[in-house]
Amino acid sequence: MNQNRHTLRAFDASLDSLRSEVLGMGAAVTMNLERAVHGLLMENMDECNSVIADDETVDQYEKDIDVMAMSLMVRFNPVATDLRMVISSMNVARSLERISDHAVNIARRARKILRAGENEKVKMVEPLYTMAALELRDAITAYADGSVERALGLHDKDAELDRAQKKLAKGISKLIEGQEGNVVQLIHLLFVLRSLERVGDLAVNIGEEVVFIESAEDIRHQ
Amino acid sequence: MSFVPQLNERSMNEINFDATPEPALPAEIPVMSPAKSRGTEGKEAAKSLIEIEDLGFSYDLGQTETLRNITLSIPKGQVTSFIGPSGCGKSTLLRCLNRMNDLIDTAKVTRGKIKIMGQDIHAADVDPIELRKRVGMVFQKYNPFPKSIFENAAYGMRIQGVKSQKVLAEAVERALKQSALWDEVKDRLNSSALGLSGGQQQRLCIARAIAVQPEIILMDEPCSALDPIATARIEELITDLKENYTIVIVTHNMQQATRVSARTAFFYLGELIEVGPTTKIFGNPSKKQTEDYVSGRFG
Amino acid sequence: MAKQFEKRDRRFLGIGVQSAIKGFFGGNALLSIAILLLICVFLGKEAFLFFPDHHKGLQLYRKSGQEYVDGMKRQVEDHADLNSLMAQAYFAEKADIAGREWGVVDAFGYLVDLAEDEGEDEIDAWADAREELEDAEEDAEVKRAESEARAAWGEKLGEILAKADRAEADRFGRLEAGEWERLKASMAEWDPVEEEPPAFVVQAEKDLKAKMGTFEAARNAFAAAVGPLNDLKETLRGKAMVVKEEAEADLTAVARKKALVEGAAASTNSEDRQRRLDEAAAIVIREKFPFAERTEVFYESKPEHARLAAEYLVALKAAMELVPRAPGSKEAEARLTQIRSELPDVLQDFSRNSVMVQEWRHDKPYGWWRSISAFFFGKDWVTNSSWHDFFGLLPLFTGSLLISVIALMVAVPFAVSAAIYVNQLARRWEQTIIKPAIEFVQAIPSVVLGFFGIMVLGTFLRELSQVEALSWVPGFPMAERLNILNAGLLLGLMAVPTIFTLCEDALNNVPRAFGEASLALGASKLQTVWRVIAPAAASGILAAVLLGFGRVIGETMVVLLVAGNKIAIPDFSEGIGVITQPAHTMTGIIAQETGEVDKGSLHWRALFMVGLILFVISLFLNWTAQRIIHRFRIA
Repeated sequence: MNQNRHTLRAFDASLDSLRSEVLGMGAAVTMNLERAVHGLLMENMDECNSVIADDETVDQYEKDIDVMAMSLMVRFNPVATDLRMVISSMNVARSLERISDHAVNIARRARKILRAGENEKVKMVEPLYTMAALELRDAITAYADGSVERALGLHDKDAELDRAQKKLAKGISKLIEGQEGNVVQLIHLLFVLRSLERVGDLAVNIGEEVVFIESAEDIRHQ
Repeated sequence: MSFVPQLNERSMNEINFDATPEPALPAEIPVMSPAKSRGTEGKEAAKSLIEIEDLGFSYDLGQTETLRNITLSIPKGQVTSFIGPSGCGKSTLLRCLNRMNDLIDTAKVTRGKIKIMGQDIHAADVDPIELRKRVGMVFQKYNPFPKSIFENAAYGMRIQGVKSQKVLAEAVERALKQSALWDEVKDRLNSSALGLSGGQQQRLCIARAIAVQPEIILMDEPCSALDPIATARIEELITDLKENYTIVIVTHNMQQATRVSARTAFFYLGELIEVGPTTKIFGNPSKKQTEDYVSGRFG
Repeated sequence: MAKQFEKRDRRFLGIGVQSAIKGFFGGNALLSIAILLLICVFLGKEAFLFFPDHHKGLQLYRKSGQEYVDGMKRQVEDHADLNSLMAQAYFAEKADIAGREWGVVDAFGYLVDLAEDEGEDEIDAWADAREELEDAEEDAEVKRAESEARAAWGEKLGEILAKADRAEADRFGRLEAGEWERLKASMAEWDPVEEEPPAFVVQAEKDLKAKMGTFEAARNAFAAAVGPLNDLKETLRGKAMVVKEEAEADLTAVARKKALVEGAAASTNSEDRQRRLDEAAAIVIREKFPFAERTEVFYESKPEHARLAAEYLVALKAAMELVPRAPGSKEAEARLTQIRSELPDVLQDFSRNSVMVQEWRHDKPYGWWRSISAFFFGKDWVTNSSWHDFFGLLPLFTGSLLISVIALMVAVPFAVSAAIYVNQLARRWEQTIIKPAIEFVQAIPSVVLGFFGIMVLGTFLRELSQVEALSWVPGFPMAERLNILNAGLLLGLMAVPTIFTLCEDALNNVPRAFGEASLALGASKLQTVWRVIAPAAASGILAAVLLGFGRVIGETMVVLLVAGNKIAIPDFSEGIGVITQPAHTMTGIIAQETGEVDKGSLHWRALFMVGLILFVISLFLNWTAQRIIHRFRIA
C-alpha cells in the first residue's frame, strides 16, 4: 500500500471511502454466514430468517460500491495501483455478494433441515464452517492491510477445506445410499457442505484480487 | 476479473430476479462516510450568482456571431467549468463576464444580457472597473507584474486607494495563505515576483486576484502552462477556494473538469450544447455531441 | 552501397555557396568594425599628441614672461570691471539727484554747439565787426557794420533756435517744464564771442558741481588708481611679446634655413637665389634660447610692481572713502552695494595675483598634468591671438551642457508624455495623426531650424522678455536674440522625435499581459499606465532620454547659428537667468574654427581633442543606454 497521500485530498478521501465500504460489506457478509450456520447448529429459525432478510443490505452494498468505483474512475482517472485497487474492489464486492448468497442458501436449507426434525449429523457442518470462516476472515484482512502473504496462504487453506468437504460428502453420500436416516435432510446437508466449500473458493478469489492489487500479478486459474 | 455477474453460479441457488437497473450516478459524488453514502441524495440546488440570458456576442460589430443564444446560470459557491474544442467561444464567454472584451474596439454584445448578482452588467450605469473589482480573473499564462511579491498581491488594494501599510500587509498575508503560497514566500516578500517558479507565479496571480475579495473568480485555462505537479496543487487550491468564492474555469483538460468542478457546460461553435452536473456530463450525457466530445470521438 | 546523407553543397572555385554568402555578410560587418577602429585610432593619435604640444606651449608662455605679465593683466582687468560699475553708479546718481542741472548744462551745450556750428559765419562777421569797433569807436560806418552784423547774428540765432530740436538737446528728458524755453530765451542774450553762459546756467553748473563734486572726484580717483599699474603692465607686455616671438622664431629656425637653402638650389633666377641664400645666412641658430637673460627685465620689475600694487591699494581705499555713503538713487545704491560686496573678492584676487607675480620664476617646471588640467578646466578659449592661445574646454563644455540640459528639459516631458499618450491612451485615429506628425519633425533640416531660430524665435523671445509683466523672470529682459535659451528650445524640438520614437518602442515592448492583468483587477486605464506599464518601460524610457541627450550634445548646425557664439563661461550671477546669455559649444567651435586652422598646429590638435571628447561622451551615453536596456529587459 502506498503511504504517500494524493495532492488532491478528495482523491484520497474517495479511495478511503471505497475501501471502507468494501470492508463494511465484508463485515456484513461474515455476520450473515455466521448467523446462518449458527442458526442451523443452534436450531434457531429466527436467525435463519434474519439472514435471508439481510441479504438485501448486502446487495445494496454491492450496488453502492459499483457506483462509487465508477464515479472515482470518471472523476480522478486513477492509474497503476489506484486503478487496480478500484477494479479489484468491485470484484471483491462481487465475490462477497456471492458469499452472502451462499449464506442465504445455507439459511434456507437450514430452515428445511430444522423443520424436518433433529439430526445429529448436522454437527458435521461445524468444522467445515470454522475452516471456511477462517478463510473468509483471512481474505478480508488481506484486503484491509494489503498483505500478499496472507492472501497467498489462502490457497493451501482452501485445499484443506476441499479435502475435508469431499470426505464429509462421501460419508453422507454413503448414508444416503444406505437409506439411513432422513434422506431429504441429508441431501440438504450435502448442499450446505457444498455451499461452505464454495465460500472457501470465493475467499480464494478475494485473495487473488488482493495479490493483483499489490503486485499486478494475475494468479487466477493456476 | 469480470464485471458481469456470473449467472451460472446464481442459477444454482435461487436467483433473486429483481431487475437490477444500471447503476445510476447520483447528482453529487458521495464522498461521505459509508453510513451516509447509501442512496443518491443530491444537494439542494445552490443559489445562482450569474445568469446569462440568451446572450449573443460578436467580435466584428455584429457581422458574425461568436456566441449564439447562450442561456446558462452559474450557481454560487461552486466550481463551474466550460469545456469544448478550440474556438468554441468558451474563453470569449468568460471574458464577457467581467467585460474584458470591452478592450477590443469592435467587440459587441449583440443580444441578450448577463446578470451578475441580479444586476445587468451592461447597463448604462454599470462601471466596468467596479465590476472587475468584484469579478476577478486569472489568466492562462501567469503574468505577475515585474514588482515584488508583496506589491503584486497588494496591487488590487492599492489601486482602490488603500494606503495603510498595516491593512495592506494583512490583506497580502491572508491572500497568500489562501493561495497556499504563504509558507514558501513569507520571508522574501520583497523579492521580485519573476524569480518564482511557474506554479508559484500562477498561485501569486491567484492571490493577487483574491486579495480584493471578489465574489467571483474567472479562470482561463489557469494550468495549461504548468507541469502536472503544479497543476495538481492549483486544482487542490481551487477546491479549497470554492468555500469562499464562486469559480468559473475554462479548461481544455477534461480530466481537470472532472476533478475540480461540480457543474460543467459544454460549448461547440459558439453555442451551449449541454450543461449539467459534472458527473452527468462525463458519465451519461444527454446529447450525442457531448458524449462524442468527452469520449474523444470528435472529428 | 550509396553513401547516405551526402553533402549537396555546390562548390564554386572550392568555396561553397553557403560559405560564400556567410563570408559576404561577415565581411561587411568586419569592414564596418575596421572603419570604426580606424576612425578611433586616427582621432586618438591626433588628439593625444595635443597634450605634449600644449605642454610646450604653456612652458613657452611661462618662460617668455607672458605668464608674469598676465598676472598684472588680471589685476588691471578686475579693476576695469569695478570701474565700469562705478561709472554706472555715478551716472545713475547724476541722473537722479542732479538731473535737472545736468540737463540744463547739456542742453545749453547743445545749443551753443549748434549756434557755433550753424551761425559760424555770422559769429565771425560779428566778431570781426566788434574788433574793428574797438579800434574805431567813432566811425559811423563801423558802428553801422557792427550793428548790421549783430542783427544778422540775431536773425540767424532766431532761425537756429527755431530749428533746435528739444529731443536732441534733452535726450534723457531731464529738463523740467519751461526750462527749454528759458534756455532758448537766454540764448538771445548770450554773447557768442565772449562765450559767457547766462546766469542760471552758471548757477546750474555750480549746483551740479556741488552735488556731484565729491562723487566725481571719487570716480576719477577710482579710475586713476590703476593707472601706474596699467602702464607697467603695458611696457612689460611689449617686452614679453618680443621674447616670445624671438623664441618661436628660434624653434623654426632650422627648418626655415633648410627650406631657404633648398629653395635657392631649386631657383633658376640668380638674383632670387642670392636673396634666399642671404636670408638663410641671416638666420642665427642657437642651441638654446637664452631665456634667463631675456627674462631678467621681469625679475627687475618685481619691486616696482610691489610698490605700485601697494600704491594702488591705498589709492583705491582713498577713492572708496570719497564715495558718498548714502546716494540718492536706488540704482546708484545698488551698484555701490554691488561694488562693496565684490570688493573683498577682488582684493583677494588682487593679492593672490600679486603673490603669483612676486613668486614667479621663468624656469619653474610645468608639471605634465598641468597641460591636461589646463585643457579640461581652463576657463578661456582664445585662438588666433597675437598674445597667447588659450585652450580651455570649460566655456565650451559649459555651453554645450547648458544647452543640452535646456533641450532635455523641454524635450523629455513633451516626448515621454506624448509617447505614453499615443501608445496607451489615444484612439486609433489619433494615433494615425500624432505619431507621424512628431516623427516628421525629424525631417526638418537642422540648418532650416537654425534659420528659424535666428529670424523668428530669437526676435520673439526678446520681445517677450521685454514685456513689463514678465520682468520678474530671471534673465528677462534679454539682451541678445541668440542665446542659450534659443538654442536649447530648438535642440529640444529636434530631440523630441528621437526620444518619442524610442519611448514608444519601449512602451510597445511591455507585454500586453501586464496591462490586461491590471485592468482585470479593476484598475482604470490611467492607473494601469501609471503604475504598471510606465514603470515596466522605465529602462527603455531612460535609454531613450540618454540617446536623445547624445543626439543633442552632438548637434552642430543649430548651435552654430543660434547660440550666440560667445566663447566665455556664461555669467551665472543671475542664477537661472544665465540661460538668456549667449554661449559657444564644443560642436560649434569645431565647425567654426576648422577652416582657419593649420594642419599639425596646436590649434588643430586642440580641435581634434574637442572632437575626441565629444566622441567619448556620445559613446558613453550610447553604451550606458545599451546596458540599461540589456540589463532591465523583461525576458
